[in-house]
Parts: sequence; structure tokens; C-alpha cells
Amino acid sequence: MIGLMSFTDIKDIRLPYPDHFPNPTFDFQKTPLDSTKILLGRILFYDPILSKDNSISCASCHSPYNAFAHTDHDLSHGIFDAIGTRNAPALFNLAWQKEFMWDGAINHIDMQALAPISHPGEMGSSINEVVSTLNASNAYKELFQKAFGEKTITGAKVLKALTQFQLTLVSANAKYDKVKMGKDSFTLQENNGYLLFKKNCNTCHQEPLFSSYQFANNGLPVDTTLNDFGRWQVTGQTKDSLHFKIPSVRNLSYSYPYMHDGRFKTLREVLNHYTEQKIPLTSNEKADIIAFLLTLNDADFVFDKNNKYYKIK
Amino acid sequence: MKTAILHLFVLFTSLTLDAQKALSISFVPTIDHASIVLDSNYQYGDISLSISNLKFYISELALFNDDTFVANVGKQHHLFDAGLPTSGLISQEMTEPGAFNNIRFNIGIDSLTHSAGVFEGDLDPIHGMYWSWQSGYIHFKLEGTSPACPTRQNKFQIHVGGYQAPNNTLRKIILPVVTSSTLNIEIALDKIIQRIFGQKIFQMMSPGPTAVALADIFPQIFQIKK
Repeated sequence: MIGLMSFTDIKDIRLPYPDHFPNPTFDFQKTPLDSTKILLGRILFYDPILSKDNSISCASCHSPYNAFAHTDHDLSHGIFDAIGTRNAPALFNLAWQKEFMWDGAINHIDMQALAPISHPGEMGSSINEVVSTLNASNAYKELFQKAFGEKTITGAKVLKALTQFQLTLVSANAKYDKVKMGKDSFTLQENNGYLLFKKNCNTCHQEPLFSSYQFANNGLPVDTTLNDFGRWQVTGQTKDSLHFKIPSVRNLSYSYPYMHDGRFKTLREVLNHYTEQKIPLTSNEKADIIAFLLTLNDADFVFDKNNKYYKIK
Repeated sequence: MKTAILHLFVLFTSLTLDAQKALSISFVPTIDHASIVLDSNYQYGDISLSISNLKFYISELALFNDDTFVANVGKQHHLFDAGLPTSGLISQEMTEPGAFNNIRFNIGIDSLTHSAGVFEGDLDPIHGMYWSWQSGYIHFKLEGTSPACPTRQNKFQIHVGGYQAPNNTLRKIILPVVTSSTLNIEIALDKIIQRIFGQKIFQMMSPGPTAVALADIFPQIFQIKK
């Protein structure tokens, strides 16, 4: 009888993704998706209650309309107008990723939110503060009760809920995907761009996710105002100096500027950087590659109402 | 009829009492064999200091007879916190525990658990034993003040962590014991204090060779208290 009554709260939701996608790396057998936890995570994602002065939410730097990046801002913003040292990355297809942040410092999606919550230049709070603030809210207590069967809010539950929502951010319905599903076709220029992309870019930006999610030094000189050496700061190994996580090239139109420090505003600048790195491309070929890259814009994802702002009732 | 039930009840109770025995293990941190009370002053040689925080993970605590596993004791991961007196006591109901002559446990959290996401209870990041900027549990945390520290507010903050080679600071402890229902384990912090003041390591907050060298002392600081 209880089972029937909770019919609308769907447990064991399967993450929707098309056949041309590989299996996710996230272990859904161990931690299945659950609609009540996803909704709770979504409410938390948009709530500035996670920051010290109630001013910054996750969505402040990861806006749904920017494929969950921060368009037109080279570096991330925080409380008291603080400016960070890296470009806020777009958030999608996280279920296929094992390491997080530009330097891979975070080893599991559950643990990722701890970094911005605690960073003095981002949310400036702590998971303890967040837990005690949430425990003082009857509305949140009810949501946690519904999602986890317990009213007492713990750090683990806050993080698990955020994970659930973020896992549902799947971008898999761009024109490229429709072509792969046989529902659309490339123009001649797009197709030429696709061939050039496969020849020159696909090693790092592997389709269909358009990243191998490995770390690489793409030849950018260090910005001496930031002195960010990337993965080297995590592993302590000099071979990792200036290595950063390879981003997906999906949704580029929504998520400029580009690179770990947001130094390039346009795709043309990005391609010019790579031709300087000895990838031979003519001006026409660059135009073709850009035409192909634009087929990776996923408007269905960016304007999906299920991912939008949702306020606690 | 009533008498029969009562008899059965008595019989059952006595059987249970016979079969089950409680084992309790206590962990007591000391300096110069004196138990540590947080925020009180200690004179150790020419060093005067006060400890404000001492926390560490005891994991996979188990009884062994030579190299034969006998029984697990308590939870898989246990957070010792000098600020919570009950956290120093780990007890376990035992069903015919059998003889054992050594106990084994780890100081720290294994690498598998490290990469498996968030957990409730003693592993919840709210305990301040998880690094937010770079994934990893703090295996051992010792904080306090001393006039000998040239740091801000004379603080020393020792956070020992790291789970990936070559900077793994998890340490396995094996202590020979005599089979008993109570075991008292002393954690003599003397060697740790000597190291941090001797080498002036007053701030340690990331994995690396300094943390590894300090963790190498862990197997020497646990001993059975007679």
C-alpha cells in the first residue's frame, strides 16, 4: 500500500542517453537515480543558502542557459565580488567523468561540491555550516525526509542530492546526435568539418562525448598573473605541469570564453592557437571545423525546463 | 504453561549470556604517559604546549591469532576524537570470539573507500577530516598552540593525509596482546611532538614526503597499556 501511495516518487530512474553513447562510468547499480533526490539536488543547486552570505548559488557560475558554465566571464566569481583563478567549466555528461575540476583534484562527483562551498573566494562557507543552516529549515527537513527517509540532514545527504541532480544533466541531442541517430544530416561544409575534426582534434576531443576526459598540455603559455600550473599542483609530478582536463567541445556557443582561464573569446582564436601549435589548417578549413562544432550545440539541453531554477516551496 | 514459558525464557537468556561476550578496546592518548586533556598546558622537556584538537581514523580493527583472522571489532571506519570521550571506546558483542594474540588496525582510510564517493557517519565530511580542495581524508589531525611556534597565534596544525602512491599515509598497526575482554591502548604522542618541534613542522596540510615521514612514526606510538 505504501508503495502505491508513493507512486509519483520514481525510484531507479534510468539515465536517458542515446545508443551512440558509451556506458556511464558512474556506478548507477550502487547509487540509482531517484526522482525525490534529483529534485532536492536541483533545489539546492539553485539556492544561495550554500554560500556564507546567502549571495552565491551553484547556478551563479553554472547557469543552465550557458550549458551550466558562466558565459562572458573569464574567471569564476564568488562572495564579496571575489574573482577566482579559473573559468567555470560547463556541466554536462558528468556521469561519464571520473575526475573533476580543471586539474582533476576531485576524485568523485559526490566530493566536488565541497570545493566551491569551502573556497573563501567562491561560497566561503563549509559543509558544517550548510548542514546546520539546512537543519534549521522545516521545508528542507521535509524534502530530506522525502528523499532519504530521514529528517536529520547530514553532509553526506546534501552531497548525494547535489550529485543526483548533476548526473541528470545529459547533453545528447545536438544536431550531431540527430545525425548519428539517422534523424538529420550534415551540410557539405559541416561534413567536411567533421572529417577535419576527426583527423586533427578527435584524439583529445573524442566523440561522442567530445572529450577523452584525460589531462593535456595544449601549449598555452602560463598566464603570469595567475601562475596556474594545473595538474602538477595535484600530482606533484613535473610531467603534469600545465596539464589541464580536456573539456568537451559540446555546447561551445553557450559556454564562451574558452580554456581553463577563459583567455579566448571566440572559436577562431582557439583554432588560431592550434594552428600555431603546428596543426596545419587553412582559413577555409577552420571555417569548416567551426561549422561542424556548431552542430554540437544542444539547444534541447540548454533550454530543458527540467534543469531550470526550482525554488523550495 | 506459564512456568514452562518462564523456564524457556530463563534458559534462553542464560544461553545468550554464555555465548556472547563483550570485548571493549579503549584508546587513550598521552604525553609523557599522562592522559591528554584538550586545551590544558603540558610541559614536555623544554617544550610547553596545549593540544586543542586530536582526531584520527581507526579502520578495520580486528582480532587475529598469529596470522589467522578471528573477528572484526566495531565499525569498519571509526573516528577517534579527543573532544568526544566516548569515541575512544570501541566495543563489540562477540559470539565465541576464540583465542587471539594480536590486534590489527589501520590509521587512516583505505584507497578504495577514498575513491568511492561520500559516506554517512564517521566518514561524513562534516567532521573536518576531509580536504575540500583536493579529494582525500585527513587520516590524522593534531592541532594546538605552543610559544615555540613562530606561526600566527602560535598555532601548530598537523593534518596527515594522502592515499595515492608514493604519498600514501595509511599505516597498519599490529599489537601483540593476551586474550582478554578489555584492552587498553595507549597512544603516546611523544614521538610525534618530538618530530614536529624538532624539525619545526608546524603547518602540514597536504600529502607529500613530509606527511609520509610523519606517518612512518604511527606504528611506534600505539602500545598496550598494562
